[in-house]
Amino acid sequence: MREYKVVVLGSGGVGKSALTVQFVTGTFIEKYDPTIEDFYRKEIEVDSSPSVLEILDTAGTEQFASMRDLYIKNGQGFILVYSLVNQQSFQDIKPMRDQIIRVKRYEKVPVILVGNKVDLESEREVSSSEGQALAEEWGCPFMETSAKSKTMVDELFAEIVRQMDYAAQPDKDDPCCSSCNIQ
Amino acid sequence: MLRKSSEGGGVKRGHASAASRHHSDSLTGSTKTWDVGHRRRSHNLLSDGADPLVSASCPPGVDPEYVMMLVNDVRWFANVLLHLKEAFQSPEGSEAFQQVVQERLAELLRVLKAVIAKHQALNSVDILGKAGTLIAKVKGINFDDVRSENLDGTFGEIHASIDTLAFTFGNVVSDFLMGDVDNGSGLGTPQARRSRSFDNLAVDPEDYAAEKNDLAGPDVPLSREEEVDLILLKHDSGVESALLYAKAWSKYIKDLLAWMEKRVTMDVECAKSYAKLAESAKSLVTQQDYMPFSDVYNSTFKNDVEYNQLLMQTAMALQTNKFIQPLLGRKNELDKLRKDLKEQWQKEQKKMHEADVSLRKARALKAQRQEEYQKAHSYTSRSLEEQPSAVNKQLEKKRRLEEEALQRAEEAQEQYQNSMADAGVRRMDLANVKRTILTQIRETVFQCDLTLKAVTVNWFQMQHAQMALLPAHHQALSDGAKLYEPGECYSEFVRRLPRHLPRERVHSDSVSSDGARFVFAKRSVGSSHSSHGNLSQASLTSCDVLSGDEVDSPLHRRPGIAARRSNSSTDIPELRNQAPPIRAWTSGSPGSQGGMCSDSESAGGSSESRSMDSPSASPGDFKRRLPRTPSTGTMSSADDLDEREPLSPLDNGLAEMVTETASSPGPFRNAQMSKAAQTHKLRKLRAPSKCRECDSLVVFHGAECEECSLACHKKCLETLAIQCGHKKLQGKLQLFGINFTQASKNSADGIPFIIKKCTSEIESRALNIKGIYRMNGAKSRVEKLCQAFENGKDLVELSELSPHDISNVLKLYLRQLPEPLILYRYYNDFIGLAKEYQRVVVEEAQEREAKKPGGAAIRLNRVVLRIRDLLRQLPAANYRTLHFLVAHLNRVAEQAEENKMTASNLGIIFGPTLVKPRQADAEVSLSSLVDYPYQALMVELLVRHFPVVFDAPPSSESDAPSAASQTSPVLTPQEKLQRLSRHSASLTDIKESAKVYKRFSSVIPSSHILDEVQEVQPGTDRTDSSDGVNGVDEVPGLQRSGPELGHAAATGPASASATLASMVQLRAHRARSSSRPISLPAPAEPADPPKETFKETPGAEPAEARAGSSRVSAYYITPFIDTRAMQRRTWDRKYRHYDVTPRTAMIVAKLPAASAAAAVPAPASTVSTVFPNNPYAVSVKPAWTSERDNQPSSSSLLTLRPPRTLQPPPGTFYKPPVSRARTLPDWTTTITATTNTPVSPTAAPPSPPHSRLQTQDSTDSAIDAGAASLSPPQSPPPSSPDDPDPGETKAIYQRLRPRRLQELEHREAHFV
Repeated sequence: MREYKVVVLGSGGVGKSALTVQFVTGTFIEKYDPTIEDFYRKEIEVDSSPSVLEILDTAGTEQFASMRDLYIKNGQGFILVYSLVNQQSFQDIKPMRDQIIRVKRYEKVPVILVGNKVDLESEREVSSSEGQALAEEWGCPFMETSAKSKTMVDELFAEIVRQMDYAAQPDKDDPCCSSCNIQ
Repeated sequence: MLRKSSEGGGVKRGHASAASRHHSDSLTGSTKTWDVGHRRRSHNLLSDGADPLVSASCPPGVDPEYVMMLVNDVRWFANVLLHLKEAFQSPEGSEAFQQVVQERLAELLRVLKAVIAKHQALNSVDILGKAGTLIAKVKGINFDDVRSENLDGTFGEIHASIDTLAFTFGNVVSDFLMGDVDNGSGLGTPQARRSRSFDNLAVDPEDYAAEKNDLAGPDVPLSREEEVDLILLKHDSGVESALLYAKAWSKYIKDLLAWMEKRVTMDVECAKSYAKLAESAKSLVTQQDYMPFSDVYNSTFKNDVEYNQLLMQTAMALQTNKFIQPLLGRKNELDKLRKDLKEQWQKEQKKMHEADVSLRKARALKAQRQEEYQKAHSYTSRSLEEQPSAVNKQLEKKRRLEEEALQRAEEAQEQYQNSMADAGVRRMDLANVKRTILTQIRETVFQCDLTLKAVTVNWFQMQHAQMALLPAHHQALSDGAKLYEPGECYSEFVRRLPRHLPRERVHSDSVSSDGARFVFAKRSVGSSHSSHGNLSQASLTSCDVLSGDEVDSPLHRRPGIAARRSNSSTDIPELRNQAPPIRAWTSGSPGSQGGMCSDSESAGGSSESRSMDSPSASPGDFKRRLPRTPSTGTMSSADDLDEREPLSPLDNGLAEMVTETASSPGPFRNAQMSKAAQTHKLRKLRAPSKCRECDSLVVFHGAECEECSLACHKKCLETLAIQCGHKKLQGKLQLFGINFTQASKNSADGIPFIIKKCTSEIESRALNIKGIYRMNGAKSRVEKLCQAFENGKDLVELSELSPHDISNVLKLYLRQLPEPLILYRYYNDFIGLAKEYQRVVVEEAQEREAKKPGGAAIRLNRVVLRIRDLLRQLPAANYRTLHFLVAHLNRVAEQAEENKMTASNLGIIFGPTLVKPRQADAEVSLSSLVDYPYQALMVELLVRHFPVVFDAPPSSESDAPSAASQTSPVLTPQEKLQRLSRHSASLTDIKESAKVYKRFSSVIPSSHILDEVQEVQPGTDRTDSSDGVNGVDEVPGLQRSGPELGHAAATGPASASATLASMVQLRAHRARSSSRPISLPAPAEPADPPKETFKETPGAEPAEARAGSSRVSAYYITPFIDTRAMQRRTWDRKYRHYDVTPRTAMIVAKLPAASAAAAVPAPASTVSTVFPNNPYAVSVKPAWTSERDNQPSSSSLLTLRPPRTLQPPPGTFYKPPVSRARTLPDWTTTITATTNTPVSPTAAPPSPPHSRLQTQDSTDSAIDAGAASLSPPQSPPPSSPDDPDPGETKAIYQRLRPRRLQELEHREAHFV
């Protein structure tokens, strides 16, 4: 069984924890507590191969921004979450991706861009096409999810697993050697 | 309206020949007679006027006769429909065809109308809508284009719509017959119905005529509403367009409103200043007698005042009920409606889409099933053909298969039909919704337009009324002025003069203080001005002077007088400027003025000042009127005037003044300006300077404030955040990242202005914003705001900024302080108190569980009081600032209902900002990571207990020591208590920090830990070094983690001691789970995969993969417990958790395992047993950590860790791997050594560690060289065969526990 280390990044209050908890436990947390850092583990089957997801739910509040390097170093796949009712959170996400690239020193890090809170369609500030465009620019998948209504949540995590599989494929014999060489 | 639309449809058939219409009319009449009679009869039976009553008392469904009639009508309608349909079947010759079609359509509509008119209950929106669609479709046919080949394509739609009409009609009729239709709706408008029903045609000729007119006029357009609705209905994106229009409308109105509002305020301001001007001028001017035009001007002033009053009234009216409010109300209404409708529409569309999708799916399924069936069928028949004599059974089987397939195909077919029907219903719904939405939008838009119209008319009428007064008035005045004969007043004056006065005047004009002389002087001025043709000058000047510089000491002014003298007589502004000093001076030293009087202009000047003064009588009153009147800026200095061409002395009449009033910045009148920018008096920038807004150089298009000399780009005026301070703006100030003491010096109370400014702004408008302080602001704006703060200090205008930006700036400021508000030297104390608080809470929970009434509340209180005392040790400025800030946060937390920012949330946000440890470099140090929860808790406590914590009555000085002295004795029992339940208290503490450590250690590359470790390492004596380094607290944490790391590294062979093995057993059962990697060879432990039921994340401990080292896995369990998924770091949750642990600890202590590890049973056993008890084992914190355990042993695990983490990139703050590799072993040794010293009897000999060190070095170098061997990330070097056996590390660990306890006690004593 493969293990995948997924890090959920995004600025404060976009619903990282909500997404993660929705995925792990199937419930929507109403609480509004900022996260410092939480860790979850779940087994899922993606494309009929069982996988263990180790999900690191990170702090979005910028007080903890200094810890982001650590998260990134340890993650294999990254879920970059913004809130589509908050244009600013969409802007915040861009430097995070840069940071991932910088820390990983590797362009093709498995990343998924996620616009959360799609249930709040009426308050939308970031259009689907904006997200799509950014995702295309990054060459990564894009999804709009809702932790509240559990829209695309499982799909999201399945997709990140696929992404990580995909990233590991070119050098199947030694999945880490590409990154090693680069580093 | 909808009914109308059907009639509208009827109108169309007017295209058809008139003959046919007549024909059909007569037809209708004949059909009608019968039921007319019937109706009449029933009417007559009851009272004639009570039409509704009749129908109500005699519901149509009850009356069989009526039903018959209805059936007839329906049949009739059906015939016509069929007729129309037929017309489309056989198109012969386009023209004839067109005619036929139109005729039949007309007939259909007429019949429909008749039926509906007769049976009001059938008057349903659905039918009418369908009819409308049909009409639209038919009208849409391009008859020239009709060819037989595209017949189906062209008419398919029409057939479809005919069918839907028929279907809908049928539905409605059956609904009606079932009694489903609400009769009320039809009865609601009996009058209207009657007028439209055909029964009345004969009876009511007028109506008939009207109707006929309606029918006959093909050119009579549909009423606009219908037309609009119809067009949009036909349009695919009709709703969207309508919504778009509504949106555009709302925006348009918004813009209009903005303009109007601005205009009105400007009007008001302008009117006010006009009125003021007129008042003051009037009071001045009326002082003088015998002035020419004085009555003209008086009446002008009066009119002016009145006019301005009118203006203000108008403005008020506009602002309230005449313009702005109604429009605003409409706009809001529209916006709301728009939003609602949009949602509704989207919902509907989504439903439609879903239905579509399911339809498609069903279709696909159907096709597939049918195919399958076909296949099966053919297969059967083929086999039948091929082997007619085949085994019966086989044939049977095939047949069965075929049947099954058939059945399934039928099912699919059924499903398909169902979903088709479903989709049809949906589509219908959608159409209905579309219609209602469109209607609503249209109605609202019409209403809005109506309002807009009314409002616009209002506006222009008012403008007109306002203006209409003026021309007549002006005309009258000019006529009056024409009548004046120059010199008249003068001669009048002279004539009235007392004989002796003139001479005196000549000699000592302004010297004496005689009132009469002033009168004269004024007059002369007046005339001189009038001779300049600048009649308004007098009033202007006086006004100006009023607001001018205050009277300084006369001495001050003397040079000014000299300057004045040298001025040319036309330099009026200059004169004006000088006027007040003259006055002052005059009054001060009346005798010294002789020479000046000869200058007529100067005399004028002085008298002006005097005349100005006279109404208010004393120079003291002067200040009272100081509030700057508009002209101050204009006239502030002579050289300014030179620069501003438009304000050359000669043309600063009232007009100029007005524009000045409207917006001070003369040259930048047209520029868009922020609120703050409007406070400045801008002029063109003279010399290149630095823009205070964007911090770059300004050369061209620069603006500069006259008062504060702020320089700025013209375009930056839009965003300028710094207000005018009316005094020279200070240079740029270093604000962020400078010492707090320095910053606090700049304000009287020691609280930096930026904190006050930000908090007050947030309190004024952002306390109820969700996630205030949590959400990020826009980085660019935050930076800009920071810059503005540095540039403009407390003059920064925040009211236009997003609250999140402001809160971010505040956080940024606090974060960038070189030393936090809670100084480094108190850090450990504060964290200690937080931990203690935590512990007390835990104890309390335990006590409650044990039903032991404990004084926990008192103890909690005591901790809080100690926090209070500790706070008081802070420097005054820090204390005050913290007090201020926490008071603010407390207020934020009070609104937690709305803003969701509870004290604990704020604690998490501000914890690492307010309470942070000294860090060697900018990195995140381990200790701070460990302490994050405590930092947060401390801030939470401060916020939560704000009144107590910051309650600093002066008497507290005496209180504090006594409290302290009290606490120590009390605490000792407490400690005893603790000792009694040591395992629990200390355990939780240990566990807590271990977990915290763990939670981060799982993330932190080991190199990082090693940094910390290195600090410890230098001294071989662990205790010394630990105490010396980072305070009592962090090092214990470190030590705890240390062994864990050691364990992690220790992939010992199964040489664990027996005692350990027994414990392991226990734990192994727990830890094993189905999540165990399948790929793992599970070496050396074949016997032990006790597949437990799979809990969510049942420890999912791959760690167990390592044989014999399951003890290690147990270690990981410890942190794992605390990091359950659901544990969202809410403290209470933890408490709950702790409720469990102590008990289990007790129980477990009795286990044989514990007794085996006799040396230190309690901590170890608890640690191990906590896990099983953990109720929510959802997430596995240590999983990442533990993974490093698997890795070395099973290189088959592809998933694992790129070794890249071993060699952190230089860019990061991690230490180079080399040092790391080396340090770890060293460090391990250190610990082993130290622990061994005291525990020599029990512990293993120190040699294993050493050997391990060596082997590790070698492995590391191997890794470095080969990079091929898999090694765990951020983890201690991989296991090597000769790693110290777990037993030894265990011993170390056990040793550490008591030590830890001792330390805790020490610390406690220290706090007391």
